[in-house]
Parts: sequence; structure tokens; C-alpha cells
Amino acid sequence: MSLNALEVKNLTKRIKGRNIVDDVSFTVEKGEIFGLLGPNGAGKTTIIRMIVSLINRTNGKVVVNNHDLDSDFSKAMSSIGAIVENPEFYKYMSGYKNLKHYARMAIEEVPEERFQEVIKLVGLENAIHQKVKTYSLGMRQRLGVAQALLHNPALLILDEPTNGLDPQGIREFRDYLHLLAREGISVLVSSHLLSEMQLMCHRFAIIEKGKLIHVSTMDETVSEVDAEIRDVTFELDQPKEAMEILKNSEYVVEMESTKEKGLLIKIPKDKIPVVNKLLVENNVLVYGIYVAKATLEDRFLEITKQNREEAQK
Amino acid sequence: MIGLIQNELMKIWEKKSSWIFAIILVLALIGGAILEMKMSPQLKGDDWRASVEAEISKLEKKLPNAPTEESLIESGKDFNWDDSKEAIESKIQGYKSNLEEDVSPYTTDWSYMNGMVIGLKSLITLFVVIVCAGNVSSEYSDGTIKQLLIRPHQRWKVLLSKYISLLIYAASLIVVLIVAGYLISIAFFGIGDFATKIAVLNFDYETIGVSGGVHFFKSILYYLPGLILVITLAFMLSTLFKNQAIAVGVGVFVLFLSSTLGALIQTLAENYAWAKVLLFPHLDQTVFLTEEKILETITMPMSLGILFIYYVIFMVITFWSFQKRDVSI
Repeated sequence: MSLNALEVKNLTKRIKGRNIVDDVSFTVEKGEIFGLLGPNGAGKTTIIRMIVSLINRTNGKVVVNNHDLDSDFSKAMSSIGAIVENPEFYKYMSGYKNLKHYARMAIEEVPEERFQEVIKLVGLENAIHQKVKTYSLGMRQRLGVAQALLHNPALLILDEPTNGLDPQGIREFRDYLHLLAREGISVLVSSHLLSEMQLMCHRFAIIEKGKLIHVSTMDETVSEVDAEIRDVTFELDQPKEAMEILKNSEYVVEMESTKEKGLLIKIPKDKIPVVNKLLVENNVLVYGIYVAKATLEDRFLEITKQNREEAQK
Repeated sequence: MIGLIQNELMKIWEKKSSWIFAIILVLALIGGAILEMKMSPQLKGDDWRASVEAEISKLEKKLPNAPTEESLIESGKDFNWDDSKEAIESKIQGYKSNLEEDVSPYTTDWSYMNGMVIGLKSLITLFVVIVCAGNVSSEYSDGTIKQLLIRPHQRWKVLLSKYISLLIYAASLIVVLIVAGYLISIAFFGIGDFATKIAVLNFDYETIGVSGGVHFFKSILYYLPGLILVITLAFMLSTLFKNQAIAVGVGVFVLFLSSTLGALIQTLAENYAWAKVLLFPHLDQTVFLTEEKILETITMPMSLGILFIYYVIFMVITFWSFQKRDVSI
């Protein structure tokens, strides 16, 4: 028994001689929220659609909860709950009937208590018997989560789940995913909203032009960045003097004085104490040192830039 | 599989239009019965034979004094054809053959069933085409196809359950037509015997009296192969086109073509043998109630065989394309 909720191996999709998904492999562990990042058109949605068998695979293997999608289709699909882009429903039917519809498609019978449990979980108790056409986008999103969870899947797959949600809705959604992950459900989520993914995911993969170019945990990513050149703002009494002092320093990449007794310096994080010492020794008063927090966005841009440069060589 | 069919039936019946079509059928039946009451002579009393004989003797009295058509035309005044000698003679002739063949000239429940009720079957075809052509394509239009295909069921099963549900819907419309038609015809025209005779043409173009009930159910039976094929065709269009409006439009257009192309194909078939295997002339099997052969050489078993081949082709295209297609909407 492996501990992986999802294993994707050598996944490839070729359309008209072009690989729009090219030999992508990754795994999602149990209880993990795994993000697929990449610009629009990178192939994230195609990967997800191949996993949920909406799109045929040209090549590759998908194993969900130890069930191979090729040899054990119905068990593999039973382990998946998914929302592919905006959740669409039969608008002329009530939310409850929509859920009933999907419950009938499950292999194992979904008891009435499970309906109530899921409806309560997504907070649709009052609206569930109204027709879906009266629902707001946020309510539809929640009904989407309900239909995905109804049959107790081991793996939840979400394609651009926060599209069209307001900040409040996004926040609720994120808290909700963390709750599910703590309960042992694994989540595969794709998005191009990096800040959102940084808050949501434990681990992520970057997809560009159909290729998987980077996989790491979110913590690793942020610490990796620590060794690199950062924007550091020193709060000083004499910025001009400080600039003179630091002019000849070998570590400082770039420097400019900011308005209020501040000096913005680009240096590696581990050289901050050295610079600080230099300033103090020259009688400059240092009131504060502020390091710009590394974001996933910086990292993402760096990785994709590196990748492009390598490709050009 | 049962669950899937339940789902599809639920989706069909949750749509208002599915009910509206059934209601339109019932309204058309009532409307037809009212018109029939007003427009054609109705039997007063219980015994149609006595009534017909009374009519004949009345007409025979009028006959010696009736002017001929020629003299009516020459008189140059406004006149009524029914008053002419020839018209009265042919009327008497008609009534006499009614007596001979034991066919009541008045509307009876089974004559209404064979007229109006059978006539409304084309309305069923139209409604069924609209519902079928919209069935799969609307899943694409609304985007619900994604949610439908990420379930632990093979695609062909999902599609088959849709097809079966549509057959069930068509069957229920036919049941509505028969049951409502029967209730309305006995309400308007009284309860008659199942074997009450109605006049139909036989293979030699002679009018003969046959049991109205038998003829009615035979007509429905002969209607079914064509209907099943039209359903299958509309279902194929529904699977091929991702846009509901286009699928329904093309479906109705094909239906319209099949009724207007009849004469053209007739001419074509006289010159080219291949025209005989075109789909359209075979969609209406009810012609075999009065004709032994269509297009000169095609008998009913041959025609059914041709329909069957089309059926297999349509089914293969439908299921193959649905199974293979990438869903990327």
C-alpha cells in the first residue's frame, strides 16, 4: 500500500503533432493539498481533465488511491470528487435534486444522512430545495463542493476553484480546504493566482508550456529564496552618508535612498549583518532593517525565467 | 444503469417543455373533436342504419326534381353544387355503399381515433425530435457534461441511459395520445364497438370496411419503426453538435425535408436505383397499410431492412463519437 492519493506518470497529450502536455509525472500524498501552477494555457486544465478522464490520454498512467484508471476505471473514478472550472448544474432543478442526480451515479449508495451532512457543511440548508437558477455564484460554488464530496472521495480535484469568487468567498473556500485536508482528504488544485496558492497549498508543481519544470514544498520555496538577493530597507539617520560608506561594498548589488531616512539596498539575506556592522562602525544610527518577504510570485517568475534561459541555450 | 436512467428521466420531466408538449397533444385532441362535431354530420339517435336509410329516401324524393349540373351552370345564378342531380346521385351511392360495407358515415369513437388521433402522430414526431436533439447537446451547452462524465460510469453507459430514457419519453407521449384520444373520442362521440367498421382503401384502391380498432393499432404499430429511426437520428445530431440550438434546428429541418422531398425522391427513384435506398421514403411505414410496394419495387420487409441499416449506422456514429471525444468546454 503506497501512501499516495494520486500518482501521475509520464502523462502526455498530443494534438496535431504538438505536445500540449509533455511527459508530466507527480504524486499527491494522502492529506496533502497539492497545487498546479502555471500561466493560462500552460496545460494545467488539460492535465486535470486527463486525470478525470474528460480528455483521452495520448500516453501515461494515472493511479488514484491505488486504482489504475485504465484497468480499474470505476474504482479509480469513485475515489475522485471534482469541480472542473465553474461548477455547472441543471438550473431547472433544485440543488437537492442536482445532488440526488450525482448521488445516483455513485457506486456505493449515498445515505440520506450524508446528504444532510454535506449540505450543512457547505451551509446551503436554507436554499437546497430552491432551483439552482436562483443561486448566486458563491452558492453554486458551494453546491459544487457538496457534489464533489457527497460520495466520500479520497481525492478532491479542483480546477481554478476561486475563479469568480469574491475575497470573502475565496477565504471561506481556503479555510474549508484546510479543514478537509486535516480530515485526510487529499486535494489537487490548479490556479494561476499565485498569492492564493501560496496560502492554500502544501506542495506545488509549476507547469509551463505543457512541461513540469519544478516541484517543491511551499516552505522550501520560501527558504530557498532566502539565500538570494533581496530588497532590504535600512532605516537610518543619515542615508546620504550611508550611501557613501556602502558604495565600495562588494555585496551591494544596487542601492537607492528612499524618502524618509531610508535606504533600499539589494543584497543577499546572509550579508545583512555584514552591512549592518559596516554602518554601525562608521557611526551611522540604524533604527530598523526590513526584509521584503519572499512571495511565491517572485519564485515563480525566477523559475520560469531560468527555465526559458535554459531552453534558449 | 437503472440509476442512470432514473436520472435522465428526472431531467426530462423536470423540464417544463416536456409537460407542455403532452398538454399541447391533449388540447389538439379536444380542439379536433370540437371541430369534427361542428363540421361533419353527426348521428342523431341510436341506429345509424335507420338514419342512413332515412337520408337515402329523403334524397331519392329530391332526385326527380333536381336540376342537372349543366342546367345550373346555364342558369347563371348562384347555386349550390349539393342541389345538383349528380351530387345527390353520388351521395345516395355513398350511403348505399356505407350500408353494404357496414361503415357508419357518422363520426364514431374509432373513426375519430383513426382520423384525428392518428393525424397527431406527426406532432409527436416533432416534439420527440425537439426533446431528443436537445438532450445531449444541452449538456454541452450548459457545461453539465463535465460533471456527468467524471463519474464511475463508462461513457457508453451514460449515453445509452439517455437513449433509453428518450425512448421512454416518446412511448409516454404515444400513451398520452392513445389514452387521451380514446377518452376524448368516447366523450364526444360515444362508446362504440372495437370492431366498428371504418372505410379505408385497400391495395387495389377499393374502399372497404375494416375494424376501426384493429386499423388504429395497426397504424400506431406501423408508425413506430419510423419514429424510432427519427429518434435515433435526432439523438445522433444531439451528440454531434455541442450547441443545443443548432442540434434542434437541424433535427427539425431534417424532419421538414423528409416530408417535402417525397415527390422529388419519387421522380429520382424512377431514374436511379440508388434513390430507392435514401432514408426519407422509408421513414413512413404507414404507407404499407394501403400499398404493397413503394417506389415501384420496395416491399415492407425491404423497407424495414433499409431502416435497420440506417439505424445501425446512426448508432455506431453516435456512440463512437461520444466515446472518443475530448470534453474541453
